[in-house]
Amino acid sequence: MYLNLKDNKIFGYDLNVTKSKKNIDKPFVNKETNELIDYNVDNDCFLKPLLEYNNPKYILKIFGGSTSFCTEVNQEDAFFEKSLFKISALKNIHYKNYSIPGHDLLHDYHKLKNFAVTSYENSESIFIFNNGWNEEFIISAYPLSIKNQRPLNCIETNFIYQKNILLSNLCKNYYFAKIIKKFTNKRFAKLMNFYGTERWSNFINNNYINYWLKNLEKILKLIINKKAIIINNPGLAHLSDNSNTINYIIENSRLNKKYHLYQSLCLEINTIVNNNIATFFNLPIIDINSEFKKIDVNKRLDYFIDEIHLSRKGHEFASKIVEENIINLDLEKIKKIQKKDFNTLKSKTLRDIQFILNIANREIYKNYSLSEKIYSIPIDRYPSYKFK
Amino acid sequence: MNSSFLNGHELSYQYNIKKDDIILGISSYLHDSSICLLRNGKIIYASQEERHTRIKNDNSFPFLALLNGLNYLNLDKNEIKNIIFHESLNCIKEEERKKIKNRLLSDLSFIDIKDPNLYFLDHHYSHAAAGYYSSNFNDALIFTFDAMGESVSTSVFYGKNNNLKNIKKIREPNSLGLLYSAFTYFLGFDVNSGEYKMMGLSPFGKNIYEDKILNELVKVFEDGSFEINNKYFNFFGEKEIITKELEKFFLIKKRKKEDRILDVHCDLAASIQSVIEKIIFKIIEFEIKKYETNNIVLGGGVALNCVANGKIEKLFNKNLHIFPSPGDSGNAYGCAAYATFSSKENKNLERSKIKNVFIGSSYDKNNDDIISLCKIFSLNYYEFFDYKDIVNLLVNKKIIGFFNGRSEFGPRSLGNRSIIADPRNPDAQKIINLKIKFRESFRPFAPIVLGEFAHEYFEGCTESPFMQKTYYLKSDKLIDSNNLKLKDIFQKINQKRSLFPAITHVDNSARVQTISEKELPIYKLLSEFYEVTGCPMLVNTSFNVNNEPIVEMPFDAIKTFINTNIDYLVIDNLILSKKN
Repeated sequence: MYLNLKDNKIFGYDLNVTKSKKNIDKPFVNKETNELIDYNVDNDCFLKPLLEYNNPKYILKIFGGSTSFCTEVNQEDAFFEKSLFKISALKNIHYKNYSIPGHDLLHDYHKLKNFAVTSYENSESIFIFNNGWNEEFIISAYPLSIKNQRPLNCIETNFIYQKNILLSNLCKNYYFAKIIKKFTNKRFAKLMNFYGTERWSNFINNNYINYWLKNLEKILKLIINKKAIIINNPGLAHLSDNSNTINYIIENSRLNKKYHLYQSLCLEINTIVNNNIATFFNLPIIDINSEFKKIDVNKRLDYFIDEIHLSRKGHEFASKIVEENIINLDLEKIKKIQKKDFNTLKSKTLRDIQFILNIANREIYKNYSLSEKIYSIPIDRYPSYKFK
Repeated sequence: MNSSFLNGHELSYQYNIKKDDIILGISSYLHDSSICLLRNGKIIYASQEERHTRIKNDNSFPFLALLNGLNYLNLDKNEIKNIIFHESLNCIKEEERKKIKNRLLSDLSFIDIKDPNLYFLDHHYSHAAAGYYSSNFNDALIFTFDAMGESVSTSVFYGKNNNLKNIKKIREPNSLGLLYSAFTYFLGFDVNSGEYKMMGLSPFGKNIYEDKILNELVKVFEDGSFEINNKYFNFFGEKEIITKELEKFFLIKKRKKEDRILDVHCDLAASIQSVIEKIIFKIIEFEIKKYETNNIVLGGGVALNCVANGKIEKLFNKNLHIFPSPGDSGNAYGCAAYATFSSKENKNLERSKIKNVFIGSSYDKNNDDIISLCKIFSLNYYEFFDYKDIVNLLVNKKIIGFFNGRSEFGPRSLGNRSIIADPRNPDAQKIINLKIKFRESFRPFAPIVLGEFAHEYFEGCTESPFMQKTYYLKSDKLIDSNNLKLKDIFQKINQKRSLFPAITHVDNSARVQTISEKELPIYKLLSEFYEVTGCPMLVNTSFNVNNEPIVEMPFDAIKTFINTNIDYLVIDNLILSKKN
């Protein structure tokens, strides 16, 4: 629900300087302590870095959604914060995390365009992009995003997942919101479930990849001749999981078989897209996922609080990966982004993921045929919709 | 003369398929949905929906089979002007008929096929057409046996000069298919998929219940027609397919899936197999006296009974043809073929015998996707240039998944989606059954043999390209084991009976597939295997695990590979292996 966040028409929502204990959604509650997560906010209403800015050589600017944020862990435990804080002196870096739960590349574009490119101008910027999951999510929840140029604001994202100025304004009123939620929840549940055709249709016409690449293209135009690093975020469900592993995950998590397949397909697509972007622009990539993939399934579950968000243990592990990778990176030698024909990247990427889309395609028609009108979604998968 | 046969019926429909038109045949909403695309009477693509949805016997509209076909052929949906459905829906209630037609139209519009010329054909006509038009016989007697379709269970047709005439038919509940399924259920196997298992079980038993069955459960008339005693069966209720009376009659309880297989189960399987054979033989024998033809065609799901098929060929000494997919999935071809050949413009269209069933999709010609999958699944892979590489693996007792080119249409893997092994390996049957297919240990495996050597190894076998008949191994290939007194089924399974233990069933029979098309990868591999070992055959079983459809895409093959104890996977020109 993020009612502790301010509504902001441009950036969606920013973190509130004074945390309210009312109407807190799960991502802002520490999974272990059940208390509000401990984080600090800067004047710009984004996370305040754990360290002081003292004109270092590089400033690492992090963009992403909830997976880059301190979701359900305290800020000091989140992997970007932890790793970059630790190696800041060694690598002569400072960092700034612009990630917010629910934000996608369109939000990032506006952040970059309006201030993030030029912030901390005494240090050289290196932009870190952790994308994929949120692009899939927003296109699933609001398929028209692909056509739209304005990112969803706080209310649109969290109350109704549809862009409608009138409805979102009405939602500012508690009682109207309650009624609107009732009528829109059905549509939302239909869009987000794995038994119908809607969410799988997300793959048709490559909507989510197009959305991702379209916004990335806009972003890269803003940071030509700047440096960037790509992050490949991990996930719980892997396409390579064998039947025993899948059964184990299904028994011990909220995933069902279809949900597992969907997430694993997304993860493979994210991996291919991220690798292609990195290769095409000659950017370093930190593939956190490939390290997580090596973990035995019995232990893998401990690293996640759901299928994409990390537990404290997961953050700890990811932080070591980021730490090692950044230490080994010669930041000086990172190539600057050059202007290139984005269509080449796009067509190669769409070709490379086709075999995965073919697998997804099966589910659309299968689900249509089965016509199982089971529009149930895991209650803790999405913002909770509780109005208490 | 008493008979349950009714007179056959003629069709009143007119079809108008023009030369070079593509016609789409659809079989769906019963079981084993499929599509077939035909042009000028030739199959250009056919596929079963279950391969794509991965749901065994899937009965849903064959969206994926169709879309894959269009994609494979690079065809636009708009090029499909003529669509024919495998049933006429004439025998069902008006309300039901409307429902099915609407569903069909709505499913077609879901993939943007709107306002096609929509035709229908009777179910048993579709079966008969699949058999007749896929043969090169000018005249033939065509017998169709299935569970039931549009209330008919058995039909006799006469085909001549591209015309089909329905001579007679038997209506449900008198149905050989349903009777066989009821016994399948009684013996603890699943209806519609466990029939193979019961057939595989029958050689382990003794035919001691035949008289009992014929005296009480099935009454057989002089012309082969029959009546089933409904006191023992419940074919159309929502309850079990058998009644409690059947248990009382045989004095045994219905076997549960997990129950041990006893001799009595084997004996029942042997007895019902014999009863079915007797009825079929009698029907054929009666008709064959009346028609001067040297050709017999079989159709319908019962024609998948390769034990009976082998005997028919031998007994009647006639040319026998069976469409490679004689069950409902083959009806997609049957109805499309009937509409084509009965259209005015195509009356004199030449027919040719179906050569092979590699008429599905092929995938990834340049290996890029397979290499990507290898990376995702952490598999080793290398390109091979000589089939000797695979032969060496086989000789070293490795079990291999063999995936090549276009997928097969129908229920059998015939070399493009197969699991193969050295038939001389005495452990192969056990390993494949228990560690790869996770299925009952008694189930036999079929040999795939170079066509030119088939007669040297199997009695009377010259050509059997679709694995539809069983043949007995020649005596010089058998090992004398008469001295052994084996008590139960499991001892019998483990007994080495021939030089090729992996493919020799307990009665020394084998469901033979001959291969003669030299350009096929499986032929090249077999030739190389023969060069090295002197043995011209391999074990060939479908590339799937128990209760799953045969693999279709490389992804399915790799998934099956990682979930089983298959040692190596060959996909086109790559050999894949598991790390560690």
